[in-house]
Amino acid sequence: MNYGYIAWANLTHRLSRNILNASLLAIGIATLIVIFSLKQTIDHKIEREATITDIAVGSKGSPLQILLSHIFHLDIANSNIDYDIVKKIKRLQGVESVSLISMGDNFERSKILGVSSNFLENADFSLLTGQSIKDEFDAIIGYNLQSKLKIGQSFETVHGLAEEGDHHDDHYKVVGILQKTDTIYDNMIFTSLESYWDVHNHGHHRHKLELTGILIKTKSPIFTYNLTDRINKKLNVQAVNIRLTLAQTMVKFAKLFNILQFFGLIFIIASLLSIILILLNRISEQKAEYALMIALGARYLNIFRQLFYENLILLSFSLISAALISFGFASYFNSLGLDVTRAMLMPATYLIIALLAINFLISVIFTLVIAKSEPSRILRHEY
Amino acid sequence: MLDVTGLNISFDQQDIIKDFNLKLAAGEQILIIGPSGCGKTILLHSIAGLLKPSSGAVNFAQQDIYQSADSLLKHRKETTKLIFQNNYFAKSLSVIANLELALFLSDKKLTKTSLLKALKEFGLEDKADSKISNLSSGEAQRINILRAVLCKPKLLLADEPTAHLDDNNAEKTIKLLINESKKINSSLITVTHDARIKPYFKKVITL
Repeated sequence: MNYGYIAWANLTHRLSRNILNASLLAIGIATLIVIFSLKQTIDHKIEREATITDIAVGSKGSPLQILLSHIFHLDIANSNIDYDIVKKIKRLQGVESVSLISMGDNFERSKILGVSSNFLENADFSLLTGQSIKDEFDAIIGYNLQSKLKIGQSFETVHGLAEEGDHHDDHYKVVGILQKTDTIYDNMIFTSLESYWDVHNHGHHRHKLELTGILIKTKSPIFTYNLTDRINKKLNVQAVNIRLTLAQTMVKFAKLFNILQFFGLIFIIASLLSIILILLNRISEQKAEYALMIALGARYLNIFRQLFYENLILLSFSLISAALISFGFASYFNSLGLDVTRAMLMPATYLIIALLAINFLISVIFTLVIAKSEPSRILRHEY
Repeated sequence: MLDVTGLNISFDQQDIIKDFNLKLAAGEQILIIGPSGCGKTILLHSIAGLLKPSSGAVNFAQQDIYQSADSLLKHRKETTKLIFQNNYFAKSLSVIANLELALFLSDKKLTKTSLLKALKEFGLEDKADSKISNLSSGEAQRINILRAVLCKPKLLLADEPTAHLDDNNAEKTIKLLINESKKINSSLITVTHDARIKPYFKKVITL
């Protein structure tokens, strides 16, 4: 006989209710972890993507759509732009480097991005293994696609962004795998612009080459504003100042973010309160048994220890379940290109510490309540 | 051995127990009888070290049990054991685990074989692994008594041990209680409103 044995017996005695309580706790914990990690990941991601490109150029239309399609790859581009524009842009003052992108195909929902040879270098991406693109139809895959494709493997792509569609006849071959970048690019496949054009112009003349977009790095932030303005005025394309548009978009959506954050906060408080209430209810239901233990010779310290053990077992079960739920969400977000797994560690650690502290406090408070109300009073009224 | 002097217990300025005095020698057995609500359980809890009296003293072996936290703990752990009126058990534990719990909290230990032997003597050997909720009132009361006597306290305190039992079970239970307290040479204070058990005690106090 020991306090761990009693704690375990108490938990298994009310098994279904305790499983329900632990599951509620798990959902609360998982929600907290997911909200925090998601917010942190999105903030980090926006910051990271914005540092890769200063100006994105696409066909005339909405700057927001270019931001979503060219930078975050969450939308498709309206239409293409002429390749001839590239030369004109390169000549403009303040341009440090220009990367070219073409897109519109996928392999099992992972986007294929036709890129100019300097794209990976400009984005500061490096290879984990394999080699860079040399021959036609060579492809480099993002870090997260290693489970789908291996080096040396050939694959064919589907036109458009849906998994089912018109298959292209040409086969790409994986020659390299990128290191983890913590961006949407971890879920993308890269090939040369030439390969991309060949796949699309198969059997046609290559008399008019087109791009989806141009990503510009400027020599300094001072040039970014002027360059965007000049491109928009002089050339028949839409240039988007990434930082400025992001900031403007954030302002536009500030109210929405505030509302979401407010509800997130309310949910966090509600989850924490429900965690505390669940622990308190469990203790309240059993206070007569603790009074009985005092009558049989237990010290108040022993009661504290048993309360703490009991809640600790319950919390451990909840934390393990919460970890499983969180990882479930993480793999879902991962498939969307948001790797939240690493960002989960910090809120999870804080939450474990907070829950242990709450358990400690509740166990102390309740032991004091039993001591203050006197076991006799509890035994006379509870049974 | 037990010397209760000038004991007063009041709640919300209402006197429940007023100037109660009692001297009890080692091995002595007494019955305190009174109607429901007269404060019998409160008095017993106070002697058991579970309720500090408003005034007066509960002395055991010439020491006031409420003098310090240590003396109070020693009183609960070693000196006295309560036989509760109802099913006062750890509901999650089996019969045998409830007995082990009482011994564990009294810093005592018995082997499983000894516990099974004790259960057999009480006619409950087949109930060792049962949950308390599966016992009849009579069986639960016998476990209640066994739990207390296994700890071999110097003072046994029984609260309405026959209240919910029929005549046959009440007789069996009170005889068992008196015999077991004699076996372990323990003093016995029984409080009850049940006049059926009055003939079994030489010393009776009416509240």
